[in-house]
Amino acid sequence: MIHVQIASQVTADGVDGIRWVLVDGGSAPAVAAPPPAALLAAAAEAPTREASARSQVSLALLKAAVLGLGLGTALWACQVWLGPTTVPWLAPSNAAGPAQRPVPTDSPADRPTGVRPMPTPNAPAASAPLVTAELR
Amino acid sequence: MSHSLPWHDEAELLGVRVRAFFFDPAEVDACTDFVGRQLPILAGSGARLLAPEGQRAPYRVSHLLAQPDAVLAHGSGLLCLSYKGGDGRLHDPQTWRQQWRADVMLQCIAEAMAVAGQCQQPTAALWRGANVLCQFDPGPPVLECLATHIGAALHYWNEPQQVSPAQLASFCEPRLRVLPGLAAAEAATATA
Repeated sequence: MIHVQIASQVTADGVDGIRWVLVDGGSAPAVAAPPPAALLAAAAEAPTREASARSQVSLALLKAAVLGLGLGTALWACQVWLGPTTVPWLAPSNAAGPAQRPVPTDSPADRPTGVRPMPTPNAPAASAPLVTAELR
Repeated sequence: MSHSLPWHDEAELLGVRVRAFFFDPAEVDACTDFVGRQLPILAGSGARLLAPEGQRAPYRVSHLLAQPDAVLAHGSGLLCLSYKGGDGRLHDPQTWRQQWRADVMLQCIAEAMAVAGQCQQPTAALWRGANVLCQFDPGPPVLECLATHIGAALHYWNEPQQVSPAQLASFCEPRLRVLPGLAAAEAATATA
């Protein structure tokens, strides 16, 4: 501690009325040591950086979730309104469907007794002769 | 027996008793003697400069480094004089309190502290304006504030080794203004 004396009055002959105070005469701080302001700034900066990285990751996850949800909703809506998709690579089970669908048999053994088979309906219009041809 | 000086006015400003002596600058500036020109109230006294005029020697206490405009030996003590600070305006003897600059005053006191600490002699703080000479008698709160905030001012101004009286004064002035006793006195002075 350094003793400091401040004169409270000046007279024609000198100074008078001493006030004294102690000043801490500590050694100068090391130049390499960062000042508290820098430490505080660094301490405040580190959590900010971590929080920023965390928020970026969560934002990316949120974006992906929203995109996935939208895509799923769109696909579901298409399926409901337009029917099952016919794109083979998107729905392979549907592509093979007609071939594997069970076909009702028309053998007499499977038919119940007393029941006559229904007459086969006319062939489709594509195989029949045109009406315009008959008129001719 | 000490003879008191003929101060014209005095006031308590921010915890400091300020004594003012007004003079005619045209007459005083014509003096060839340094003491008569810069300390007209002490003209003819035995005060003498420690260093040649214009040579500003550094004084240091703790991390406070000051270079006052002049240091004079006066009796058993020292006079720490600043005459280059301020804005050079003339002070009206009636309204000089309203024109007062606390930062200049605190800077002068901090310079006197550095001189007193290094020389280990009682030192008076004085400031010479364009037409006024002032002597500052700081109260204990002001002295304690300046003495205990040197380290904090050093860190605040991000100075590695030393802080100037102007930096210390700038750091301490807002703290002094919020001290309860000083704030009340300041308000009373402003309304006077």
